[in-house]
Amino acid sequence: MTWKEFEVALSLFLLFSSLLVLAFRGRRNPLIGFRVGYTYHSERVWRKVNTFSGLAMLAISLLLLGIALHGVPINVFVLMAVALLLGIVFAGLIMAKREYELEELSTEAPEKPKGKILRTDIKPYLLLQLGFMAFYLLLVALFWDKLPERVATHFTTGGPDSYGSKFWGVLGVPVLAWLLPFLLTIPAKDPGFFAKANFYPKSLRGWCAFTTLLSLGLVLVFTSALFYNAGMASVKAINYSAYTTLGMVAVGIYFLLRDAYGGS
Amino acid sequence: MFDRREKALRKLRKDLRSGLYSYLVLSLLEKEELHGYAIRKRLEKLSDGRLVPSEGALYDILKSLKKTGLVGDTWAEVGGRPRKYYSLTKLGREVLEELKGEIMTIELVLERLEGEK
Repeated sequence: MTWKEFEVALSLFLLFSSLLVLAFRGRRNPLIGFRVGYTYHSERVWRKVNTFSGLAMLAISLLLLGIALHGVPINVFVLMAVALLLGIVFAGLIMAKREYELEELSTEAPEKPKGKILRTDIKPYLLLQLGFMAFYLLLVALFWDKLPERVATHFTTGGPDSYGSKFWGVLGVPVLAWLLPFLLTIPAKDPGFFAKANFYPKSLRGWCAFTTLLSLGLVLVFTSALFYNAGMASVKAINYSAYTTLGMVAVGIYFLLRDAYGGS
Repeated sequence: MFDRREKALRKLRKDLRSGLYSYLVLSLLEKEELHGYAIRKRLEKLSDGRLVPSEGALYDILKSLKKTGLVGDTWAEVGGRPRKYYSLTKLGREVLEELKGEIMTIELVLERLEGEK
């Protein structure tokens, strides 16, 4: 498959997904659509946000399809797709939160809180993740002079199969990858974010533990790649760190499943 | 002429109420934690339906009070659905006490103005 075919296939996949979102905009479900607590718990908010995100995704997929057919480098295409999709997610979240909270003000509820109080302190998890990144950046600063100008950025079990600039390979990619679990932890501060439904974290602590373990695993992999590029570790070290990371993700999934079946 | 009168009235009413609603919300939350819907209902009852902010106006007021640190919020699960409750913070109590003094001054000035007529 050529990069152009890949770009077209991705655009068509997004087009299909947008039609699916629009088709289910009137039916709340835990699998298809803009599924956060705010939308899942309100029929009105579900319809509004899914109509918006479905239409926005449809427009973006058509735009990307046009760009793909016209021909652009894969990096530009992927960056555009990610930025536009993140834009939809961000706008959809703001819309969902506002609409849900507006609905709260017009929907009868017990005057004083009677049910289970939903609260999670995410600060310790965020601080831990910041600590992982700070540790990695410290190592980068220490070994910066030992690194070649072109560093290995991707590995198979036999060795590196892709190279990039020192700045991008040692700082850019690791920081961007680390941001993913970090940003995914933040919604847990808002108990309205996750739907009270199947397939969703039942406890926000379990979710935070999962993202923190993922963050640790990623930093472990990037640290071993840093040592490899500095000539201080073999490719075996990277393999072991990748297996350890998979193990951590498995433990994180265990936390999520344990919570789903009534654990704390 | 009628339009100008209505326009001016609408503007002044809006200016007057925006601050007043914030004060009333803080006063309601002084005694107890309340759900947003209950805040509207209480205001409706206390004012015989004459001082009831719209959902949009109350949303903006609560958001602004939260941003300035005067009000905090908590989510509670009621009937499988997260519901949001608002309470006054320590700072909110201090600010409310200050405002009470100013409201009393306003009342005094209004009474004196009435007396002069």
